[in-house]
Amino acid sequence: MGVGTGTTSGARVIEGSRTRLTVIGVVVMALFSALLARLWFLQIGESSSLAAAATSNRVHVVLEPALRGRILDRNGKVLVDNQPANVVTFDRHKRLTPKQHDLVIGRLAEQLGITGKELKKRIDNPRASQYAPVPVAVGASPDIVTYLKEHERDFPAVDVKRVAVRNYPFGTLAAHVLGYLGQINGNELEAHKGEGYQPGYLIGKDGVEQVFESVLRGKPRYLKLEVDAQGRVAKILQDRKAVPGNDVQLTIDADVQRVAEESLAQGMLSARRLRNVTEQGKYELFRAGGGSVTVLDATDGSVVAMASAPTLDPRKFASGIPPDEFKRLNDPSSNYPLINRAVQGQYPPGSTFKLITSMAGIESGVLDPNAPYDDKGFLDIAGGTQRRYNAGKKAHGTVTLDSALTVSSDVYFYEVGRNMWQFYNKGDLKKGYAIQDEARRYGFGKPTGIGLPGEVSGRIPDQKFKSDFNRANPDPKTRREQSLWLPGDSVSLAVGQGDLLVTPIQIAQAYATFANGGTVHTPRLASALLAPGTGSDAPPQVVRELPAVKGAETALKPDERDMIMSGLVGAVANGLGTAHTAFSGFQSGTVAGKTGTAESKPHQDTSLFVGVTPVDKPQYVVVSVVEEAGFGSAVAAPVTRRVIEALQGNPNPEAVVARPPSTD
Amino acid sequence: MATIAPPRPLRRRGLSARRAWLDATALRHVDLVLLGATVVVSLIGLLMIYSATRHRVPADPYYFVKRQSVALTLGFGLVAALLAIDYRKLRDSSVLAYGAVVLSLLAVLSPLGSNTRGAQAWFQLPGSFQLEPSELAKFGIIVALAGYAHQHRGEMDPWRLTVTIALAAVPIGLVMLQPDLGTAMVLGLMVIALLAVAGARPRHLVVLTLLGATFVFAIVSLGMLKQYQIDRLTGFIDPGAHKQETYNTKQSQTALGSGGVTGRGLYHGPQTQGQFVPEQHTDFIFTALGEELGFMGSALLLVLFGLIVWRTWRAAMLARDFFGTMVCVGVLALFTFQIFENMGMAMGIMPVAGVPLPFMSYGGSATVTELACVGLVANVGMRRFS
Repeated sequence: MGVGTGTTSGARVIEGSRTRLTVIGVVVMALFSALLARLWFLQIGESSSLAAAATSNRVHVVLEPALRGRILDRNGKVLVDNQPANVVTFDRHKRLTPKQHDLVIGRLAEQLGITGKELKKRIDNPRASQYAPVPVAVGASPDIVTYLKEHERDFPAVDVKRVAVRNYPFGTLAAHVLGYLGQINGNELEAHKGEGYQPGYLIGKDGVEQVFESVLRGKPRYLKLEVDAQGRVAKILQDRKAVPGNDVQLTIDADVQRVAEESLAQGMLSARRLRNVTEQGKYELFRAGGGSVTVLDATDGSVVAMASAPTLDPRKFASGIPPDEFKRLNDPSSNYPLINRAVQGQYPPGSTFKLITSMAGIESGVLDPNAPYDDKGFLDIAGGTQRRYNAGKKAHGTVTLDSALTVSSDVYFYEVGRNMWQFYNKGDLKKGYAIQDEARRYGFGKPTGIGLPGEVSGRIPDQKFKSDFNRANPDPKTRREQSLWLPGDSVSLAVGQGDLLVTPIQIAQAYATFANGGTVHTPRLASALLAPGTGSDAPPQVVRELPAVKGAETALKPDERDMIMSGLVGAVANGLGTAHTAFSGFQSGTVAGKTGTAESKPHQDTSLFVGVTPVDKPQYVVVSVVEEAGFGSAVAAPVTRRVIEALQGNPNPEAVVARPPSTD
Repeated sequence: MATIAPPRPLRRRGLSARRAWLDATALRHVDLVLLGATVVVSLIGLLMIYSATRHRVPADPYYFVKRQSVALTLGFGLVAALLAIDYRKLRDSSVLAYGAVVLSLLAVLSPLGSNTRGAQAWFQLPGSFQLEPSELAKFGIIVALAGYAHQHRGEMDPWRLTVTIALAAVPIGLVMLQPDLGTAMVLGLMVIALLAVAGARPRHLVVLTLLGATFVFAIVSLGMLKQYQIDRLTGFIDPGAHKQETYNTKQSQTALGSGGVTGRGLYHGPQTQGQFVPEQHTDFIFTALGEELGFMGSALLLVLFGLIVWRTWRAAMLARDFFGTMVCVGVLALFTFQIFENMGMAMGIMPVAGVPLPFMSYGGSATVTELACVGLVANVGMRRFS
């Protein structure tokens, strides 16, 4: 130490503290050694694996959606394309003082005409991309854009981008077929994992937009970015160009589609002026709240038109459905506009099903089409315990198959059903279930495979169905009773009632199969994928054909078909025919058809009509279904007539007027 | 015995010429290694603060550097001023130092102090500067306890031990009330080190250390406090990001590891430049250094710290009087614990606590206090012969 010490005791103390100081020095050295060792381990021992962790930390992949393909009709008319829109964006990563931030939000909210709170909510949208400015207003008016540009200094972090949004030149035309775009949800993200979707993206929902999502969407731009902890982009590491989506050419004819939608709307409106007599004998007006028109090309299954009412406006979905609109769409009083009734509506087909009963009866040998039958207006079944009547208890007198179809004699087909039940009862299921089997052959009881989302199967009842249906019944006695296939079940099925449910597209497919001589075509909506931008104003450049899908041949024989066809022609042309009034003035023999008036308790009767045209070489099948509109001849028939007029070349036929009928 | 220079006669030599001579003589023995290492570490700190904050204020990339430079200038000015005054004068004002510490800690808890990030720990000064009295308290407590220990020449009987602990407990308790558990722990360990050298019995020290640890553990872990109080207490751990503890250390270790031997290069550390590590210009400044300058840079810093601590230890050994020894031991304990806790936390071997890295972390009060401590040690060291 080189210095003297104080008192002896002081010297002792200082000597004592020297020892303690030495101990402290050792402790300090140990601590520093520990630090050095850890440093060595972290930076030299472990360094490579940690460097990789650092890399994954700051490299992010951003996918910018490509220009979406267009949707064209069969003649190249543009049903959906893209148009540029101004999008006001806000850069969340711009460094602003809290005061600046509030000021900018206040000013911007004022310009956009929304509250600051709403704007903040849009800026904080958790579904927006983390690495790009957040869109806060889509489709801003040019005035706002000009103002924002002129006052750029007052709006830091605010920018205006031009983006492509979906455009519908024909408005709501074919809305159900086209579908719409909406923000991707969690389920969709999961379902499309690995396909480059990110939260906040638009995805096709429903209709063609959904079915052809992968085609329309193309390939997004792939951007590999180096970002900092705040998400700001430091460097672009990789940039792969976007590939625009292909156009989709539909089999829909925009002109026919328009007429179909108009006619359906006119028919529904005019049906609401018709009076219905309730079971209690009271009068009320028909509600006619919904319906559909389906036009199928009988030769290949192409859908020429598919209308469903009430309809929706795809434009409202573009930037998320506003809450009140969503509420309206799901309110029962709005009659479920989101449903495409052509593929998702299930109805008892009523007399339109007699086509199947006729073919089943002939082919199984249960029915002799030429044998005269005396229609007394009623038929007793189940050993006389039940009596079934014609509509209006009308007796049609002596009929054969074709005239029974023309006048729509229920009793004639009750008889067929009753006879079939007797075969069922004897254990001859080939004859006993002839209708069910025939219905399945013609496409009922399962989705047609048109590809539209949410298509339903309908229902073909038999004993197995009944026992399945009643399985949950806890009381064994009634369960056994209700599981029996009874005479009344066969009789009801024969006239398209009972537990039978079908979709309009199934009816159309079955009649198309009948009309073309027995070939089942899967209905199709699109005929080709075209290179982007071709097909409307440039010659179509087909990327891929989507040929018609031919299914099985049925056992339909030409003479059988002719006999039934003559009955259907009579229904339109014959003075006694059910649709004679609706088609008055039409050239005889150009249209065949069948009315249907289906009981659908507790609802009012469903009005159906199926038209086939032309008769000698059928091209089109038109199926019109109007809910709660009464007789098929009163509403669905005139709707179909107007659509057929359009198919025959009249672009603007006279408006539909529903007429109260004389009979079904 | 006679060679010892008692303070009283020294003070009586009132001649300015004599004092100037004395000072010049003492200045010849000033520890240039200690001061040089401090300057170098401070400059490295300034560089790393710039690297970590140059994107923080877009209008002024030097914003934090400028403010830290003010603190450094002030601190080195204080070093110069402290060298000019004989440290033994401070010995007599130790009561004053203690009073000032307690008063300022009381004042900061009053409405005079301001509350940031859940701790009532700052005085707001003009020019958006802040004063953190708990940092200055480190200096004050060292001087006060060294003064008390000197008076009793290290005869630490149980009574004096109790008095010392009571004296220390008041400011430490006030710091805990802010709450700033990190600083309180630094102060506590510093007191234990001082007591150790002052002559407290090892048995007492062990008991004291255990008591202190149990106390901290009880406060934080056992249900003695309501949840929000625990959160506030543990909130000091990483200011403003209580729940991000693991995030911080993970990011910090990732950054250090990715530095490797030579580092990512100054201004090229992705984690630092991307600001992935919160508080990387204050408590996690070591992370920036480790990532951008690698093992070479980190080890160099460790060596420089080692130099500072070694020279402080040496000054304690060579001190002319017991007060000087005690002052140096206090500074030694302060620096060692802060360095070990801070770097250890960045490397994941110590829990996260809001303790600054001496001369490196951005922060005026801490920087000034640490430089004042260096001044004190240099003062003791250069007057070892006089």
